Amino acid sequence: MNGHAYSIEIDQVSKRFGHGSEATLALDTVSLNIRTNEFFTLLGPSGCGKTTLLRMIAGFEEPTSGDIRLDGVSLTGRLPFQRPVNTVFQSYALFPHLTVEENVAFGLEMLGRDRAAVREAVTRMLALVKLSDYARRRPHQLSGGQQQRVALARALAPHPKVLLLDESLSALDLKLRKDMQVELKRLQRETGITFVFVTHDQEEALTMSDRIAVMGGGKLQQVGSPEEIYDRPVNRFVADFIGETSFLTAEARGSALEFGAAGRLAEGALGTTAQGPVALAARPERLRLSEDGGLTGVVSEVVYRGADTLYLVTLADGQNCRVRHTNRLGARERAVTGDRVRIAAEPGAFQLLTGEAGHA
Amino acid sequence: MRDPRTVLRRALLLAPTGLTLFVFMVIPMGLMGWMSVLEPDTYGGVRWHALSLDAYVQFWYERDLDDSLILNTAYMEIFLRSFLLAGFATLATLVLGFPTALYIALQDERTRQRLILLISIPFWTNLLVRTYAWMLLLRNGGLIDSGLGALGLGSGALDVLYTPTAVAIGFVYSFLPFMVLPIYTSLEKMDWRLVEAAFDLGANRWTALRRVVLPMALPGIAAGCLLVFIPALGSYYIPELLGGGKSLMIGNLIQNQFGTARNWPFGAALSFTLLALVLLAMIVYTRRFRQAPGE
Ligand SMILES: Nc1ncnc2c1ncn2[C@@H]1O[C@H](COP(=O)(O)OP(=O)(O)OP(=O)(O)O)[C@@H](O)[C@H]1O
Ligand SMILES: [Mg+2]
Repeated sequence: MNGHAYSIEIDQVSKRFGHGSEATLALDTVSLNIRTNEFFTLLGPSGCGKTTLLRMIAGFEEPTSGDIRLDGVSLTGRLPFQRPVNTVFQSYALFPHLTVEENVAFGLEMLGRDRAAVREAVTRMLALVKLSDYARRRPHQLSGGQQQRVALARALAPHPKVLLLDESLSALDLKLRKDMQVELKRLQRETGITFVFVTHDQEEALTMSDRIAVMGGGKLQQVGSPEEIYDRPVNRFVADFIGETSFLTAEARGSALEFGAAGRLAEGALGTTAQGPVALAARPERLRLSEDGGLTGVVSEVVYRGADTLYLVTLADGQNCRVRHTNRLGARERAVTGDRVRIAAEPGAFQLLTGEAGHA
Repeated sequence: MRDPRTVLRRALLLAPTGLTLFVFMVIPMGLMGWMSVLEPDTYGGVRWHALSLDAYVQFWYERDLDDSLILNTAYMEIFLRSFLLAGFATLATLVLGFPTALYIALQDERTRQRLILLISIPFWTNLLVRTYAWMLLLRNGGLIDSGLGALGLGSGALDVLYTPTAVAIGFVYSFLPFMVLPIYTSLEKMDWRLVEAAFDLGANRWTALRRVVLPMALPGIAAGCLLVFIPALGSYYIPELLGGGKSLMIGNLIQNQFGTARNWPFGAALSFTLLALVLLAMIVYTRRFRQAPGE
């Protein structure tokens, strides 16, 4: 079955909970293709349907409409225990009455492996998650981070085709979380398993993923590599959810952008050739305070943040804009509150947002 | 480190419980224990100050005419029958009660409350009345008998009433709620995401039940077994009414000693033996299930 380019195909899937007036549309016609051995991340705010999508892949919920395929074969009607898909649950869901090693052995025993093979695999999995010394403990005798690693080892042990991870790192402290991120990436490379990872932490998503699907309000907003998602957000939702963004409106004329009373930016500040009123997004680090800048405004606030400083500027036409500068040792601040400044932009700094009218 | 005031406060806090236990447990027990080592008075009661271990000897041996002791198995048979009947009641209520509790626990909130109400409805009438009802049902020519006859299945004589079978039926009927409720309580608290995790790892429904649900329900099952076994072992009027007044079980035997047999010390000794056995079961239970899984 490995002739398929895609491990998981999600085809026009919708999910509705409840009936009548109480009905919630948790997912609204989502289509996605996830490649084999990809580290694929579902990113979005709370309640956007990430867990629901994972549960449908695992088989705990059936789509209201649409189809989910694994290696080209429809999963419809296949019960959770008939799917070669394992989950690291948001709540870990470790079996409290079993020891760590019995937990890890569970999936292997279900596959009917003999004792020796199970023991060998459990030893290997526990070494992998660095819990060899804890094999005989019960879950409640472990820290949150250790429990999470047991859950990971338990889900990985039967070597599923797809591993689903639901906010699996969210309970960990920053240090452990960074370690686990590296660990997960290594496991994904070494095992050849497809990882579908759910998070609402954008930084985690950007650092770990091969590709990211940004979800919002039950809909798929954008799918792409971390660079595409960060540098070329397609709409306001994605631009707003990931990173810092200034939202501006302007008039595109030729290759220039006109901001009314604030001035104009010549030559290629906008990546595309759209004309007329446009809605724009710009990352603060793609703009700079500069004597030769085309836009004018007044600094309304200066925020020092260690590695960099953020300048909030009210443009002459009343719009707000953020500019970020990396801090150098010994360098003075570029402006203080109340200063009149000029702003320049890198080529392509402004991203055109689709699906919105140009003027607010 | 022990402040005398803390000790005093603790003693005062424990006093009501201690007093209740002393008045209603320790004193009657002590009285029973004392009575069991006295000689019986001719018309019931005991001869105070006349110490004797006869009551305990009587359980095992009969005194022959020449005053020699011969082994007597009659009382042992009653004990054995009691244990078998109580054991059967426990097993049968477990086999019926576990699926019932599981079914209820799997329903939505409102249905669950309704079903639990249904389970507890029998408690609204006196057990004695309900046992009489079973007599009417089970007797020859009764509802079940004539019903079977009408269907052409019976020959007109059911011959169930006043047998151990009738007692067993009565036990299963009256003790079933005591099995269902504790099991339901442990299943209700259960984290069903664990079952999802088992499914996720490839366990089918049966395996998930055996390897996850059952172990988690074990404290409830154990509590249910105790709640059925102990009262069944010492039960009195179910065997009295449905078993036909023959000294079928320990309870009847004890009643008999304080009643017509007028041998209070023997009755006290029997009660004490029963108590010791029940206590043993309790100790085994607390040893084994003191710690619920996951705590
Ligand atoms: N069993 C259910 N019954 C009714 N509504 C549900 C059910 N499960 C989820 N929902 C609804 O579907 C929507 C999506 O829920 P979901 O759990 O998928 O969100 P999520 O993206 O995982 O959020 P979070 O980041 O908080 O975990 C929510 O509005 C939720 O209230
Ligand atoms: Mg979720």
